[in-house]
Amino acid sequence: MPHLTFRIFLAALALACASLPATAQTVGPAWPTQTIRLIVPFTPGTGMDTIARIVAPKLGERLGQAVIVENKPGASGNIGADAVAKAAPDGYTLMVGANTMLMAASLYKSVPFNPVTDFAPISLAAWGTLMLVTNPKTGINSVADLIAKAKASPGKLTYGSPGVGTPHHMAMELFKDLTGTDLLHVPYKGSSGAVVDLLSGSIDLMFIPIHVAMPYVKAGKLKALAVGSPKRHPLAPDLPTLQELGIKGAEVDMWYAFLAPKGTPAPIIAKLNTELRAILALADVKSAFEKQGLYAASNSSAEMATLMQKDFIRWAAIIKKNKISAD
Amino acid sequence: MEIISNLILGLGVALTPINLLYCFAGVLLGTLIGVLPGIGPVATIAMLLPATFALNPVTALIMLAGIYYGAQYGGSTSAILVNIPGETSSVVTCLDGYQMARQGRAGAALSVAALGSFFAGCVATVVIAGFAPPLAEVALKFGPAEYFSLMVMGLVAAVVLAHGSLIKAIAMIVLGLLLGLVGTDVNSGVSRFSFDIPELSDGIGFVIVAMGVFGFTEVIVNLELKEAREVFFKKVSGLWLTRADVKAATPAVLRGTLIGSVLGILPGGGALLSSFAAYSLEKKVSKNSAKFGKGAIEGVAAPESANNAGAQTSFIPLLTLGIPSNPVMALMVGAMTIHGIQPGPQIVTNQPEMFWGMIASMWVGNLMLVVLNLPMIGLWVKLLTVPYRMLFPAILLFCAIGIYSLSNSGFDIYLAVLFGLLGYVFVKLACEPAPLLLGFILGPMMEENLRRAMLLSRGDATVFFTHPISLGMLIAAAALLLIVVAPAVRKKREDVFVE
Repeated sequence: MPHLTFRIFLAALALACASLPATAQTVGPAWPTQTIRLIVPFTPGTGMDTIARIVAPKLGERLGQAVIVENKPGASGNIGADAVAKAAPDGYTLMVGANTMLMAASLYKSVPFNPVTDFAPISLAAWGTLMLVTNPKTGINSVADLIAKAKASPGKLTYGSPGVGTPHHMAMELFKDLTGTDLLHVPYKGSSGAVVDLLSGSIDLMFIPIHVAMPYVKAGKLKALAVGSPKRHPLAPDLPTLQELGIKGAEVDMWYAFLAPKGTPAPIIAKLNTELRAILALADVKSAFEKQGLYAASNSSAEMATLMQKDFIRWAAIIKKNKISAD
Repeated sequence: MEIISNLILGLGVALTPINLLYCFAGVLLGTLIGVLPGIGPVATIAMLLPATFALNPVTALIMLAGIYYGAQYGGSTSAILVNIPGETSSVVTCLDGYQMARQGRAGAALSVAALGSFFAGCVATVVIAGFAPPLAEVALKFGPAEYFSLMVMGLVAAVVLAHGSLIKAIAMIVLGLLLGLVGTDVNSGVSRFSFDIPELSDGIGFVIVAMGVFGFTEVIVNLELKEAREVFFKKVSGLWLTRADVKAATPAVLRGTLIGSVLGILPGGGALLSSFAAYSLEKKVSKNSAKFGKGAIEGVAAPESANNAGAQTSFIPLLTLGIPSNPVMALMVGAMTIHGIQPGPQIVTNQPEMFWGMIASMWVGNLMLVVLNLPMIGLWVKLLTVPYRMLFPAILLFCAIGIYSLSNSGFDIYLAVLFGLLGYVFVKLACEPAPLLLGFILGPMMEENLRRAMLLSRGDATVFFTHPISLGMLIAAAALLLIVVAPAVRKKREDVFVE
């Protein structure tokens, strides 16, 4: 009876179709079954973008699904971060975030998401070090010199930043706060303009990423004073850290991390954490990061959550105390 | 002759088969993305960056640079054929290039753009080779006060851009300035005119405004005047330049090249200004300035030469100071660091092969572009004979794709549509969009530098007069203004510009 078999076949097909989505939702190991989007909330060519573009193909290989990097820039990263915070927590939307997100949350009056509670941290990606440099024409040779000069004539020395609320700006505000000095902030749109004016002596000092600063320091066009990381940096092993110079709490590192929307299933986060840790430990990834002045690092998702919480509170306090705003 | 031996070293690098191949791939790709409206070199280079990991750094940079100046060539094609500027520099090319196309002279416009660009590219290469390190010092002389005065000069020159009522031109500049103010204020971080829309907090993108008021508006206007459009493509004539064309274009190319080479050196918008500046100057000095805006060949030759020269000399701050002067250069910095080269003052001495190899490849690439583009002109012009009802949906689609690719945001497309409608209103009111765009570009930079200069001088406004370069430019601006408003000249202006 061909007619009947056909009916049975149809019924079986309908049943199979009906059960398909259900199995896909509950069975963890089935993930990933489609392309994963890795959102970068900044423009191409930035440190965050480089991290994403180095890691994405390797992650795709390991997961057996393509990982596409998507730039969603705007509003200091808030547009991209908000899109991720509101995305379905199914493991198909991930992002590369940075500590700027936590600063932005306190800087902008109306941030549509909470940087601590709206995300499920996966792992740390990298550390970046900021170096305190001055124009040699200022005659400042050490951090002690700088503090003495700044105290002798408050508000006279000027410092540049790539914009209000950038890590470069926040780092100097923290420095001012801890040393009790008064320096005039001159914000720019992006770092290139600020570096030109620093080279020509229009502005006096600035925190810049160490790999950007080093060529100028070697050529004698800029004078390095200290690094903002807790430990000395291999690129400049003779240069003291701000901590060593007695400025306690002056950790102004930048960090980058992989995040997912809040509510992403724990097995997916765990799998991503395992794969990402393996990728971040690869020698070629480490060296590719180093060329960008980044130090590849990873941690557990719980450790990452603690770090985010800690920095959120720390920067919120500095922003409030110094009455910095960006909205 | 050190420069000769350096160039030979560079040619040795640039002429290896693999580098020639990648140079060709770069300029070809650049031309294509330049022709496609909206899809610019920034997105392309960003996507190709990881693909260059496996390449030798010099080869990678040669290809990426090829994409950049290839796009400058290609950008003029869509400006001339369909009045869509894909990039800042092509805005000015639209003014006369598109008019030439309407008169059936698209071939001549494309030829002069290609040849003018080639000449400018060659000269700029020599400028980089010979004077890069000393010129880098000039860039450092430009502080906030100098930039402000440069922008003032640029704004005064913007008035010259328009052909129509002076009042309308000024109104459009002011409107452009206001649009430029949208977004987060650099100094205080306060949002202005952004109405709590997060997409507006970084300001409105240039490409969005340009595509709207030029591209989308043009489509609306053309659909309205259907018959007129069919007529002007029936009589496509003369792909090549006539003797009179060459005579008119040559001095324009020379002046454009000079302006472009000089302004390109300034980091922070110098190259951007060069095509506007070249057009304004040409319109002032030309004997038949009445023809500007109605298909004058000088109006294509000068800005096209200037933007190509500027694109090339904008490598000077990058290669000698490590300072990127525009987003494309910032990506080049990224490309260098990926390969372990930190751009900075020592690049010429530490990486001579890369430095000179790149410079030599620019010349080779320019030659390739001319060879590539001249035979294609016939093909491009044929494109104009495609019925408009089939052409316009394609134009709109490519514009939309291009705008979306800027920051993967649908909001930007709606915004461009809004500017398209606004542009239509401008057409009905007989207001020119070019001064609006110049005001839009210059306004924010002028404000930023004014406030920064005042901040650094602790509120002392005399800083603009005590810095010699700044003073010189303000005097020049005042002189220009005098010419524009002087009664005798104004009378002449009215005679000339009343349509």
